[in-house]
Amino acid sequence: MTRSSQTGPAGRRRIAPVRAIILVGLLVAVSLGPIRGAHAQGSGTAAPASVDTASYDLTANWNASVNQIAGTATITYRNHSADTLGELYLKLYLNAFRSEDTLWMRESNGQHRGSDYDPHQPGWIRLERLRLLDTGEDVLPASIDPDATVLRVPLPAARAIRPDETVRLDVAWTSQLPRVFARTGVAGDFVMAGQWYPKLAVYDRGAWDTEPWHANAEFFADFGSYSLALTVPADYVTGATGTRQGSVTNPNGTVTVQYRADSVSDVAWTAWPGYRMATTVIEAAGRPVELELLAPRTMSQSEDKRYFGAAQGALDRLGRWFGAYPWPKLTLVVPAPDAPGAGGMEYPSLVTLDLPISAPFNLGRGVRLVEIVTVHEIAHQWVPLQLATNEAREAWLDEGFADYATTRVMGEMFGPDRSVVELGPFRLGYEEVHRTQYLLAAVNQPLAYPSWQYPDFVAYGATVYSKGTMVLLTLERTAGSERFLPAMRGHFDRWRWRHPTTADLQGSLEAGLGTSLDGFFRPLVYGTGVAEYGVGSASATQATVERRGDVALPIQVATVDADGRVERQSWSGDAARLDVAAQAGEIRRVQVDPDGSIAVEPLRLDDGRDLVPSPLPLATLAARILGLVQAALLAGLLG
Amino acid sequence: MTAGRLVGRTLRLAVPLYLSTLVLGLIPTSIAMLGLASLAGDRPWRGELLGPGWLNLATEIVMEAVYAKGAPGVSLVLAAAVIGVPVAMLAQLAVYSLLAGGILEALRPGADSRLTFWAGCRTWFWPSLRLSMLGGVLFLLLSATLSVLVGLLARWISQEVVLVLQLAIQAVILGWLELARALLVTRSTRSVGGMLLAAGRLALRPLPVMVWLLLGLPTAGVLLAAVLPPAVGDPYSVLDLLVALAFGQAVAFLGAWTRVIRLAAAMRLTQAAPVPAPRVRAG
Repeated sequence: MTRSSQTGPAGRRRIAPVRAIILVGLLVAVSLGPIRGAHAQGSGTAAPASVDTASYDLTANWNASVNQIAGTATITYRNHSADTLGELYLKLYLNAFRSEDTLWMRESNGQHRGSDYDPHQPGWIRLERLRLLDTGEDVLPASIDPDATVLRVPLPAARAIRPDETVRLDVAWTSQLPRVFARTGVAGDFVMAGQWYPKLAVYDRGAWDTEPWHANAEFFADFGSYSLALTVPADYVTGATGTRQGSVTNPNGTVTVQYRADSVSDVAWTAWPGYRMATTVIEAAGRPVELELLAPRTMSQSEDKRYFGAAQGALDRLGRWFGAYPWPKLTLVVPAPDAPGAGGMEYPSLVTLDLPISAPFNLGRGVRLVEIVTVHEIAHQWVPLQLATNEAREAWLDEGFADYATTRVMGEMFGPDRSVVELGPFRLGYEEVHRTQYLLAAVNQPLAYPSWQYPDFVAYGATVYSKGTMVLLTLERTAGSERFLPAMRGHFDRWRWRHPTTADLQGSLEAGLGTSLDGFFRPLVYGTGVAEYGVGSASATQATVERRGDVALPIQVATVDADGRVERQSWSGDAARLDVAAQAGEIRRVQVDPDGSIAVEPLRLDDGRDLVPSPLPLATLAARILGLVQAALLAGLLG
Repeated sequence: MTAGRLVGRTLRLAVPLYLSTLVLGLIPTSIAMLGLASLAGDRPWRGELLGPGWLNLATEIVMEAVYAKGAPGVSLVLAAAVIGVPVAMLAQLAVYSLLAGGILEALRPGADSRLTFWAGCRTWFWPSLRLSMLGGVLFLLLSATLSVLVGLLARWISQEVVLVLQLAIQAVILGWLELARALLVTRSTRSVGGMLLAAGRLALRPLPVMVWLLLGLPTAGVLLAAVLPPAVGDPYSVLDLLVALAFGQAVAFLGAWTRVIRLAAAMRLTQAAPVPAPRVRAG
């Protein structure tokens, strides 16, 4: 799919026959041509919605004495593409933690979100059996790079997987979990097992995703059904993706707990004797959802309602905006206090969160990190866990969406100007936090960009999270929520259980809004354009508004006359300047973008001018500051 | 001295201290307002600096300045906060050291042996300043050490109790320094170290501890009132300006009065101190 094919509904109609011809040609070429290999980036047709592409029947036997998982799996892969596949790729993520010399470690310098890698407690995964289940043929490559996080598995020519065919793999492996680091691992007897089994890579648009795992990258997977038989010491409390089906106590002092999940792209599990469990059932967007909270026994039960409240607020709102939460249960995991690296991660129907801030007199509750992390990870239940975007290649699609959605949900729940901090006169909103990061490191970074190519973690984070949020807020506010939310809903309805790209998001929004967004996406998503406006000269009879950036966005200009009458006019924003004449009375105030719609505008403080400025606000502020300084002077006397 | 006369006298004695905070406070405030005027003088959002979302706006101002690598007036505001306020605090410490001697002389019982206010100021300035400097260092060291020690108890007692204990310790340490300052005057000595030791013995008695814990409440209350002023309904209203001005100055005056009351309490407590000392007139 080319960018030029997405210039609007009319354009799409014109090229539709051409695309059909190309598609037919590709199908013919594929069916007659050689078996398809791996590519860095596919450009073929997107696979259809499917919830049975990659299914796993897993067993995991936890050995607490050596922090290892002995795992087996039957992996069922169905080829939903139009290509015949002569090879498979397995992702072996844990190998990133084998030593300080892996690609991941070299990129991260052994650090992740403030946690340090412990080289004395590394992580790795070792394949011990890989066979085609139906024929018993061994397909385990003879030589495997122990540091590799992606493994090519050539198939015998006769076993190439034709379109709509299925292959079943019989796999056995051992996973060594590291000291908790970058979402996964152990801390004492606490276990958080993420990315713990060999996972099939994604084949989409004519190519396998063969990219190794990078430090500034997350994951990419197909959907399927999962069963998990998890065996742990009998005193452990467990949680996992999906719903608990039952458990069996074994004679050797262990318990095997069965889980099952459908229409998911991953399974994670946690186990710890220090957990306590609390459950409740909520209604979210008209559907019942069971919430299960696994939290340290040392965490006060009075905090539970914060997690449940944030979860309900998120599930209900996100469900109404983007389609109901599709699974019957959501597990909320609060990791052990000495395992913060396990927190803040999304898995299908399971999220890992952060402990509450500990402060006297409940002051910690005025800082809403618990709520923000909970809402953010739950937003991921929509992207990438229903719309399985490539989190490494286009991280903004899931992180930008998640924090855009979090900004919206938190703003509705607590107020936009106090959604992060509300401590007396100290109030801070999540949008302003994102503005801070955006201005610090993201204005001049492209959004649709491979995450491992950003210059550093700060630029990566600020761009995919904060610029992503600013871009989506700007799109919503310039289009209007009443039009934007249905357009986003249409995107979800079209791409659920598939692998949409940035171009697909643009196409969905263009279809929903009925307008081309090329002038927005090209500079602000793919490029490094800057949208910048300001007030130039102004007099009682006329004012000049200037476009100072290279991006033209539709914008409102308001003037206020001496009687307080407000005149608004819309400006396409594409000219270098706009002259605004006084309508009825003399102009007293000029304000560009009076509603603050252009969230991506770096310099917003110069968007307005008073022609006859009153000194009273600053005089009142001076009176306040003076009183505060005097009190500080007296307090600083120290006896 | 009757309670009414004591109130009247302490109110009068608070005036010079209050005026000094006004003069010194105006220095960083004026610098900050010069910066804010050039940054926001004609910007429609300047009224929002008085609203509940002021921290969001302040964050935006700082970050836009960082992004633009500078903004008119921001450097003045930063200079006021980073340099102006600390310098004013040091100056206030010196002024307080000057005024404390006069205030304590004025509160000393027995009119015949008292120095005049300004003579008291001159006489006790250097010992009082040395006490302020040494006391400041001791306060920081002691309160930090004891706070850490009390913090270790957090495993067994609630965070609330730990915080209250830490604040109580600070109140007693501050009271100890007030006692030392009063002892300088009542015992007519310039030995700062000796009076700190003497005050230490006195400060740990039940009555002084109770007094300093009680007097810690209005001190904290004044600070809290300054941080939490009444909301400004209309930033373009003269009435709101007057209310903000009156409230800020009332709080500042109350703060100054609280300091004088603390000195009065220290003077009373030192009267009960058993160790007499020969009166030495200093230059």
